[in-house]
Amino acid sequence: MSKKTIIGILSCTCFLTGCMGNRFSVWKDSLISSNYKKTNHLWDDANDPYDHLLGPMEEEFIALSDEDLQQQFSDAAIPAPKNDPGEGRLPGIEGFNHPRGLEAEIFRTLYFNTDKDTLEGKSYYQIIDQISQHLRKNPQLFIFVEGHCDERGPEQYNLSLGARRANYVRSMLVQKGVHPERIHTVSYGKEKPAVQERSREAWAKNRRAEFKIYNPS
Amino acid sequence: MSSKIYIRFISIYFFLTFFSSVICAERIEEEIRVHLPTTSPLQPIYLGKIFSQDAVFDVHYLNQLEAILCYDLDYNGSTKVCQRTSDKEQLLRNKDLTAAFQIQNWQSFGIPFIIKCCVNQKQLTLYLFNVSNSCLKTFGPISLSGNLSQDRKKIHKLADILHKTLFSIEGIASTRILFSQKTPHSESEKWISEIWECDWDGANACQITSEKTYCITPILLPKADKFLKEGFFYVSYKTGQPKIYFQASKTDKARRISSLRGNQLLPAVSPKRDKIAFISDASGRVDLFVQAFSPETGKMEKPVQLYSHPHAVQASPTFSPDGSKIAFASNKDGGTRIFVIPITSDKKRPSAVMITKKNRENSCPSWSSDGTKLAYSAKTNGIRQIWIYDFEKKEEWQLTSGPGDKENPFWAPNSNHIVFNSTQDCNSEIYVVNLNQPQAIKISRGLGKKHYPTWGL
Repeated sequence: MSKKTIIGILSCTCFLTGCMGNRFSVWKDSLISSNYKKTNHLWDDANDPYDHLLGPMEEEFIALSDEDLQQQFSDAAIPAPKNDPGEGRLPGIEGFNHPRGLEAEIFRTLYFNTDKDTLEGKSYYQIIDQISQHLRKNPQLFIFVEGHCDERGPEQYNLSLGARRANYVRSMLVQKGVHPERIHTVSYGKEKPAVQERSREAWAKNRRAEFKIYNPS
Repeated sequence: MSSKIYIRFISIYFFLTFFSSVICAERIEEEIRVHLPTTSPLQPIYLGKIFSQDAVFDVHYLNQLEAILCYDLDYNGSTKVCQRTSDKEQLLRNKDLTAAFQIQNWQSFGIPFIIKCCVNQKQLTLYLFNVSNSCLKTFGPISLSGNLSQDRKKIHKLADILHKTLFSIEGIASTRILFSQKTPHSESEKWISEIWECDWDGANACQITSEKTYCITPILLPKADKFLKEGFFYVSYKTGQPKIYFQASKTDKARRISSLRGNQLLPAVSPKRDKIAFISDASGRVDLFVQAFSPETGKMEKPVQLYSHPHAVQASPTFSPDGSKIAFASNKDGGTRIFVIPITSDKKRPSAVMITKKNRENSCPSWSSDGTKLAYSAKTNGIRQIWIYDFEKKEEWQLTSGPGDKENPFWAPNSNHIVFNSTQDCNSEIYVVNLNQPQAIKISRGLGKKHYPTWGL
């Protein structure tokens, strides 16, 4: 084995070791930013007639002014609807029903990866497309997006994670042209599992966003 | 020639292997060494059998009262009740107090505190003898009603007076624990969750909300001498979305605290009862909010978005005792950790300091009322355990062990006891533990999932 070969092997080893030392958080950040790039690409052609509903709501709360929080559509943040369900003309969640018949084919449950609040996979974006088309065609409909988690995460953290999942789906629908006042979110954390078993398959089925529909007509 | 080089190489290899294994073994031995305290922080106390003179209550009832006092003294984190023996009972049986508490008789047992209880008709009198200074103190007489729920409270109060007398620190036997209990609804067959209240030993448990919906994460309004208003906050799903409500008493109507849109979750109250912190998605992100309020006037200020991060989940705020800082869980730097931020009003995101670094999946922090410690849950060898972060030493240490995922720790007002829920096989129960006795005691009873416990006066 020549000296050059040995030096070459040593340099390669040093280089690879250096790469391994990269922080986990950096990897996670790149993963997250790539997800958001994907969603941003989907939103590129979306018209936004709801500017008046976005941005800091100074009349309701004192908002932070940091720049990274002001970039609309960059982080899937669309302010919650102004009218709370169950308190005005809109009924509470008991007035919303599980999708049935043709609507059950459209409003399909969306599944998330462990501890993730973004969707991965083209099929999910096709479902979002179908739902947004249906909602645009039926402007009388209001929906609830329910955010759920599997049983493995901490209870309190899961309540927040469920809210983030539901809001992610909501903002994607808004970006696809659905009026933000028509979509409400609710987080149940891990309180309402779809499957009671304890297995990888059951957990995958419980990390989900489900839909409920209210049709006033 | 080559075989000689080969032999030399092999011998050097074996020598180095042997040398390194010896060094490593020493280091490993050092790493797994555990230092255990050899002295117990608990003071032994002897609780004599209740002596009855013309008592109107039967022996069974008196035994129940005795068991309540024994529990209060055994798990108060300061004393440990000694086993009863016939010779000590013989001494206490003496009706003449001077004869019963002869110091030379008690010194040989090495027990610093002796308690004798007497019930005369409906009156309970308790005698506390301090062996070290030969001082005898009398407590009572206390009128007993014969109603165990009421008399239980009187015994707890007595235990707290004893604790204050012995250690000059307020006891916690008269405190309350609130929790949410999930049960199937008998009519609709849907699962509902209501807020329950119980004594610190789990007794006197009663439902204090009746919304027939999801009510979770209760938190008691801290008591203050100059303020009379009492009550608790909780999250209810009755309108579909989780919102924070305040209810003054069991019979009072709950009212919504904030008109903020969207989901409102995980409320925390400042010890000075002037602010609440909570998680809300009003902005579309899941952010940490703070809102100033006055429980006396009911006035609510405008909520302030205190912390937000574009790509992170924020959860579980808890106030520092002076109300100037908040600790919360966030996954902004990858895994979920506990961060501390100051409460500011300059519309700039405060710089968050990560304080827990030892374990993965840190969650649900709770700041002790003396401000020196933070309890939180962390995944340890695959199981969630309760850990303590010591602000003075800047160290983290594990409090609980054993099976069951332990979550939602909450400090008692004495900054020594912690209540938490432990989940095993889909069944969640409430436990109490204190820093001096790491063996947790299960206090919840009956069916249903009990979780989100909170402690208060």
